[in-house]
Amino acid sequence: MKYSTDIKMFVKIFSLFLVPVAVLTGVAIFFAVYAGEIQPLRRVVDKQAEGGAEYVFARQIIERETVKYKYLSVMRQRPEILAVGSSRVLELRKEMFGKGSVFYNAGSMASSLMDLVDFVNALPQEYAPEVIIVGIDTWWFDVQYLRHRGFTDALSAPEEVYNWRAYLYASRYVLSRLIKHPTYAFTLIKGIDPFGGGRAVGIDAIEHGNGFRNDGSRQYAGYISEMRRDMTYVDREVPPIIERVREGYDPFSFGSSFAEAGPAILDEFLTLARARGITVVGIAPPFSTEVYAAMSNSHYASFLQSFKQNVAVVFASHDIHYFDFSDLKSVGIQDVYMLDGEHPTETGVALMLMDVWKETCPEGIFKNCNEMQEELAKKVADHQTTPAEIAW
Amino acid sequence: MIFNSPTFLIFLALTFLIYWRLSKKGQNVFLLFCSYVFYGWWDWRFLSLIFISSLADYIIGQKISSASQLRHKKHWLWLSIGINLSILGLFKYFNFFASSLQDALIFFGVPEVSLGTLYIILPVGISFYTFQTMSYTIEVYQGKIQPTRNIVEFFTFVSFFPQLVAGPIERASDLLVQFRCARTFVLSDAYDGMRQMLWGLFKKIVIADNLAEIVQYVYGNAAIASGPQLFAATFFFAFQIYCDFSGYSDIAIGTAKLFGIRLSQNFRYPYFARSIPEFWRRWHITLSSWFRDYVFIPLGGSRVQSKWLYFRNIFITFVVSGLWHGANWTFVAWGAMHGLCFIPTILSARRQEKKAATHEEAQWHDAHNIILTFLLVLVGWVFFRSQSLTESLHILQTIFQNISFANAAIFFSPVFVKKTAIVAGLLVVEWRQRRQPHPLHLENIPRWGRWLAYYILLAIILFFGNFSYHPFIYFQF
Repeated sequence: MKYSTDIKMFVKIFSLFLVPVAVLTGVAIFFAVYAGEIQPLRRVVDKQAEGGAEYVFARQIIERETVKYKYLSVMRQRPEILAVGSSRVLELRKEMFGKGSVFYNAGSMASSLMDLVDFVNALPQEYAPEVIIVGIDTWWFDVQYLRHRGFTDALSAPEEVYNWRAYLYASRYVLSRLIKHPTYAFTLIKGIDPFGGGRAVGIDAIEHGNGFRNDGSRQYAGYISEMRRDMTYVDREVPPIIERVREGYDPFSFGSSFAEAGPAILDEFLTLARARGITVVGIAPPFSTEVYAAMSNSHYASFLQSFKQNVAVVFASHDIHYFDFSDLKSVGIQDVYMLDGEHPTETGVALMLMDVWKETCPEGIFKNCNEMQEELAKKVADHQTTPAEIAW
Repeated sequence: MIFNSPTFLIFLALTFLIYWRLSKKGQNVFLLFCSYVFYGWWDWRFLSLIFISSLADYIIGQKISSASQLRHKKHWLWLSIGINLSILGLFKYFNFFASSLQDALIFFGVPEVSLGTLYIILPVGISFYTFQTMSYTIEVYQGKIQPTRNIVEFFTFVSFFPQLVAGPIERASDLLVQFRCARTFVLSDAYDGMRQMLWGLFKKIVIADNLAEIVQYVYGNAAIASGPQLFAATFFFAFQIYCDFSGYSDIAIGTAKLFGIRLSQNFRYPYFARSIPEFWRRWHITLSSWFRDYVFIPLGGSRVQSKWLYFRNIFITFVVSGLWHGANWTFVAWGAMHGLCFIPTILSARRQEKKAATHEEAQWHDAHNIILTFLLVLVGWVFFRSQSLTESLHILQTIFQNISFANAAIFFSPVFVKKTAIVAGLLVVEWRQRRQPHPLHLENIPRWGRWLAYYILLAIILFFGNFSYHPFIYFQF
């Protein structure tokens, strides 16, 4: 049977009706894709691994897929020195380990002890980093976090670029911005990081200069700009970390309970790493003075105490260097070198690394020890340097 | 495959284009195939259930017709009811009845016995297609229709994809006969179908799914939420469930029109009802009429000797209707509450006149009755939305004890104001269009005006819609 005239008419009118919608959506999707908001992670990872220009990558509208992005970057860049942990290790930068060092920061890739184990198990036979600097968060030993497997879940999830919702959300955001400011199209096409002046991939990177640099470390453009104006300590996290401790919010919840199985999982990770020939250096990133004091004098005190005692013992049993920086003052770091109650700035990290350097370099754990010392010493001598002005 | 997904849009476009190139016989076979693909998209294993249910009633329908004695007809009818209710009972109610029986035994001091728990998923839309296929055998038994000998027609009637998983629940006398006839493409019907789909998508994506998150948040923390928060969440839930379910019905009816099939109206602006009985003539109309015809009237209906018996019949009907919605005492309580709300109507000597009057559309001077009815409906929604009876009672207690100007700041919060504005917009449009089958029925407006309205609505959907995965609420029933 052939279509009747009415059906042809219906299809024609309906198609006509959809043309403007399709055109507008298509244009918006084009800009979103061009800006890198919707781009396969592998393409971003390849760009950053090429090592030419500095790319800052951060999506704003669609799911960020940080875990998958970091894992793919590790596999692509195959660094000799690898930082692993939560966002609290994100300010470790390639330059801190001396020029020519092959470093990658996989901060934000792990959010539990099980993630560490799963990561080492996921490493291919032909590659393993020489050194892993692992940032251990206190709450990873909380029974509620212990079996969390964010790493495995994230790797098995389909990529956002294959999700129609990503196109819809990104295109409507771009379209609404274009309606208000038609020049926004040029901003997206240029793709310049407004903070560092380099290339930006993703709308957050283009609009705000935030994002992951080629070495995987994080550029907090907003925070750094704020600290340039006023170099004082502010707990910038929302809600502030201090409030979370006092009010018993996640991850400092009133029900926090030290998991007896936690040390065994950490032990498993260290054993697996040793079997793969990886040298591990453990650090417990710092908390600001007020946050640490609140942790030590609240419902969280006994948990913190158990953490401090047990974790050090596990590292010692493997004869592995472990640095507990959780008490900021113990290592001479000032609060101004904290982005908020639990994230150190670049300078804060440089000061931590000075301590690490002192103990590990005599053992030859890091290759470029002399260069590393020079760079770190330069920075430690200048406490007034705001993080953004550190010229490595 | 849900209506608000691109997969469905592609599926619909392909189905539409192929369907209209086929002969009548081919159309039915193709619709049956597409309906099974549509249903199997969730879980292909459950296709066997719909197949068994359809096959059983297809055969039984003929047996009823060919049986010479009424007694035999009745036996066949009960077999049909037994098979359908057994499937429903096993998949939907087994765990509920088992745990309720266990609780009852413990209450009466009988030592704890394990009746087991079935770890099975509830097949999507099982209550809908079971009731639809049951209506066929009942109508054959009642002699209202002749049984069909065409198995494809019958299977298509049971599984017709637009209304398969959440209604409207059609009668064989309305829908099956349409599959017997040749269908012609009517341009005006197709346009109206598209308009109704657009309106349904707007209700689902912009209103229901945007309200869903706040409702979920407050009801998820009902133990610590304040009275005003719980009231606001219940108020929003009323519109979430209305827009979710009526949105589905609109899309289903609109989709069916594209295939030359007319489905029954399922909602008629229910929140403009002036009494609870009227509410039930406007809310989920096809289910209400199913229960009226197959439960209420067989019980004796309203033509009974006493008001008590009349009330008893209504009450039983509503309790069963509540249970139809879900295997939980909260649904039973919800049904019972609505049943109790019929008491004033039953006691009123002039109920027939009142019933006649309610067939006219509401006017401004009916505002107080509309508001009162809506508040009663809200109380019912608390039971419907809660996880348990204890939670329902806690919520109602908190709302009634904790409502005061002192803690009513939430009503001035941007979130509340924004969401209320969306709801208000919906009510304004619906009130203005309340004499139309759906609000986008814009026959008296010039074409450019209509197109402008469509584009505005489409822009609202695209810019303000919530496209997170929110299956239609009634799928679970």
